[in-house]
Amino acid sequence: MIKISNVRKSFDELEAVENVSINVNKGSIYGLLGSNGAGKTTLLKLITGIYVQDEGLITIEDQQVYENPEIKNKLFFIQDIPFFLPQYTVKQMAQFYENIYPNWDQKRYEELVRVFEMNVQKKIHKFSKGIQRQAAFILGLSTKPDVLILDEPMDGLDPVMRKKVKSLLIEDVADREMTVLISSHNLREVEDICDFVCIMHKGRTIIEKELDDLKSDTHKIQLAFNGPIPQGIFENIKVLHKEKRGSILLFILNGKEEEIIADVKKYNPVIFDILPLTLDEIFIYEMGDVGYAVQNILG
Amino acid sequence: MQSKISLGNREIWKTLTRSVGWVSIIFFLGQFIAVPLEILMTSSSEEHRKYVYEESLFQFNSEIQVALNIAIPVLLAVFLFRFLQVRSYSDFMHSLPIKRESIFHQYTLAGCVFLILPNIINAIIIFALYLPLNLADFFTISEIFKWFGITIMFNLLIYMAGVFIAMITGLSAVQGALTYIILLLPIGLLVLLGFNLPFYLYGFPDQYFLANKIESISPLVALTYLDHSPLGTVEIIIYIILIFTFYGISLWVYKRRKQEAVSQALIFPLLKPVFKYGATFCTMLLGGMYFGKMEGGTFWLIAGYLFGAILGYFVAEMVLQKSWRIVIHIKGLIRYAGVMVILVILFQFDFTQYEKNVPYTSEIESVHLSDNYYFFSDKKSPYSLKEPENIDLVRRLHKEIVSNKTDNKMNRDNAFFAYELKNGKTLVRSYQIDKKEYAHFYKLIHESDEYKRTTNEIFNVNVDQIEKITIRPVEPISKKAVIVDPEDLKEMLSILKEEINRATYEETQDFNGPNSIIEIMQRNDKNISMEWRVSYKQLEQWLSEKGLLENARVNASDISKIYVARKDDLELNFAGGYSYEEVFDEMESHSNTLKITDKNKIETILQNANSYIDGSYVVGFYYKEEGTIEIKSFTDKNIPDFVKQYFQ
Repeated sequence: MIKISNVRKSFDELEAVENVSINVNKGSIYGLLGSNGAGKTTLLKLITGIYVQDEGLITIEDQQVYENPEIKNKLFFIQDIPFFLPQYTVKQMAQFYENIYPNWDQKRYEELVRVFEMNVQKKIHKFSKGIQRQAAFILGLSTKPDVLILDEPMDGLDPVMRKKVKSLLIEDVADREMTVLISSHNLREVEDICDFVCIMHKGRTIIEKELDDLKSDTHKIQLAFNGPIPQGIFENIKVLHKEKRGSILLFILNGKEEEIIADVKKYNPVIFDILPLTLDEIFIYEMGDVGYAVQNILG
Repeated sequence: MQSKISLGNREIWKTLTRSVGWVSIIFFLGQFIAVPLEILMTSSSEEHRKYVYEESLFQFNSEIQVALNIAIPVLLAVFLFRFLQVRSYSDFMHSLPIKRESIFHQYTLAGCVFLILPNIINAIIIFALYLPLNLADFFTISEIFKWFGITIMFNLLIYMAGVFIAMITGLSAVQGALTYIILLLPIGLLVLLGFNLPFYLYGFPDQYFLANKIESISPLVALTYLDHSPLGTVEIIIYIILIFTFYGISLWVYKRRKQEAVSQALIFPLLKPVFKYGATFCTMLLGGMYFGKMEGGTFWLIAGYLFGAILGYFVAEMVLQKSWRIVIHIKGLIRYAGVMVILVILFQFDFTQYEKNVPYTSEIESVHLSDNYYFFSDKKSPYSLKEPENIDLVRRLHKEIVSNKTDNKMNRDNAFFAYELKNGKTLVRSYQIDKKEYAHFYKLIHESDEYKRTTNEIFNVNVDQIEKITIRPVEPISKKAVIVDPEDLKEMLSILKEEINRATYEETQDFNGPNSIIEIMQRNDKNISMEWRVSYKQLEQWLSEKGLLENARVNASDISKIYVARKDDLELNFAGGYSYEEVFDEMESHSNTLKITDKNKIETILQNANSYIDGSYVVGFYYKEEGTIEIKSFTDKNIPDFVKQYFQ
């Protein structure tokens, strides 16, 4: 669906996006994580066709986005601080979008207005930040985009609203295979809806994973042996982290659960527990050194 | 589907009307008050109609019209393209499924409509008033077309300049300021160069350079001249071409504009040094012009350049860095100073060969030489010398002046050269010199037959064409001598020609004696006037025989008394300005003043006093007629003996 290969973008001397390649599948919700200044917003604006890349290729359905209304018709971008035309009401904005986007769905719009109990006659800039964001969602979803691009969408929404928005997104993804690209500086905010995650740091992607794989393939185990640690243990399993607390050994391992259990059982451990692992921990261990640098995204 | 996002997108139209419609409304109201309402108010009553002097529609409240025409188009461009200068607005617009080209066309054309509409409505209102109010008394119908055509043209030109600047900048304030700067830059640069070049190019004719109808190279300035100097066809064509050029270039630039640079003063990195060093250069010239003209002297000139350059460089940096607390890239300033020093050194060595360029005799078609640029500019066809001897003399004078470059500085006299070359070009130079030092050249040139014939119009006069000749004193006195008899006219004409032919250079430069002006009135209404110099003795004789001398010039009987005083004795600040009455009162009250009432002595003084008050003795005349006062002086060689005796 969205294909980004070897994209590079620099501002003056600063490299904002360095050689990024990612793939977003149709109907998936893709989380773009990174601390401030990691290049998330720049990447999103490149995908939206606001900026043009210095190098590389960005395509949606195999077509270039930049200056291509055909593709942009099916794409909607909500900025980190949603923008509305000055002095416009929700209704006027809706009319504007209806005129611009060929797939505008008036029924869907009216339905969403009802769900969110939105006052469409009031000037949008008089609304609070949260309500403005809701308005942006209502308008964006009513254009029936194939690709919805959201820059820090959960900022300024209360937990109830977040839930509402998330369920709306999931609904559209499920119903009509909408592709969603979400940027966030916090994994927690998006881990429950994303199926793919990409972490950016200083303009580069450092990890791109499917969340389910990640969860099922990374394990934290606690072991203790009578005597020294047996030779040859975990020879065929990738050890992400190893720690010793007294006689207790702590391992973070990458591999199939059954294989790990089978392997450990061979050495007759005194203690053997599989501990729950948070997503944050998975990332930190997966990324090694860089992981600590980006811990704040995960916490 | 495609039609929805075509040029005429209805919602974008609505947005535009909502956001900038007010500019158009203000324009309409302002213009309505300035022109149609003014016409209505002044021409609806008979009483007011008498006081309507306007002949062109530009003259009705011209200040208001000019202010509107200058402010509105730029205001419109700034508000219309606000979406380019605010990051979130820019991101919003460019995320929409509309090509930049369409955005540009729609926005820019909408702006044109917003500008044209008020003009059209007001023009229609004036049309509607034309017959009922009998406006034909003031202006023709075609004047209305001219008015709204020219106004729209200027509106569009200034607006398109604003649009172009919108594309290259990322700040609305900078957009507004830069638009005016770019519109004024051509004329400003020309004026600055005109004032500064004489310091580097010896002989550079600044007045000539600056007088060549330069106001039309800046539309903003040309606009303010509209009410009294109409535009030429060439200017109109150039302005229209410029409108389309700006449109094309703006589109080209917009397509290449990087939206991430929004909120930077200049979007394209390439323009930053151009702006920075351009501003430095202009303020440097401005500093040089201010201090160079005000204070005089090389020290102040250089100080002015330094001050101007540093100021311009700092201000440009502040604009580019968007802060007044800036990091100065001092290296750039040093590099700039280096280039300027090299440039000045090159000028010192006359690398353009400008100063040494005195054309060869074989290249010259004709030459004009006079004491002032205005002798050249005031005439429709200024006189010029063609004879090889004179051309050669002028050339030699020119070369001599150039070779005395260092000695000629700061003099009162001016030598203005304008060569017509055989290749069709003109070469113009102007120098400040002391004419006395070059008198030998001037004597030969001025006493030549050709010079006398070309500079005195009287040689072109046909006797039969003369209606009458009047001789009236320059002095404040109302008498005059008139000659109408054809025989007398004929005689007088030939005497005048002889006098002119006989006059030596020194005599023509002498301003002694009671001056009179001889006016020759021709039947074709062309008047010729010439001075009667004190050396024209034959004329004096002839007038005396005809009994006209009494009225032809001031004589002793017109004057009741004369005071003579030493200039040094009088407590007057001659440099600071004074009135004749002040001087006369001072002379009257001073103890060491010679009072003369004797007719013969008065006559002698009349013959010798000089109208240039630079001699050591001041002479005050008291005329019988209305008690008017006139002040003259004696130059050292013309002091009458009885005056000398008195003051010894």
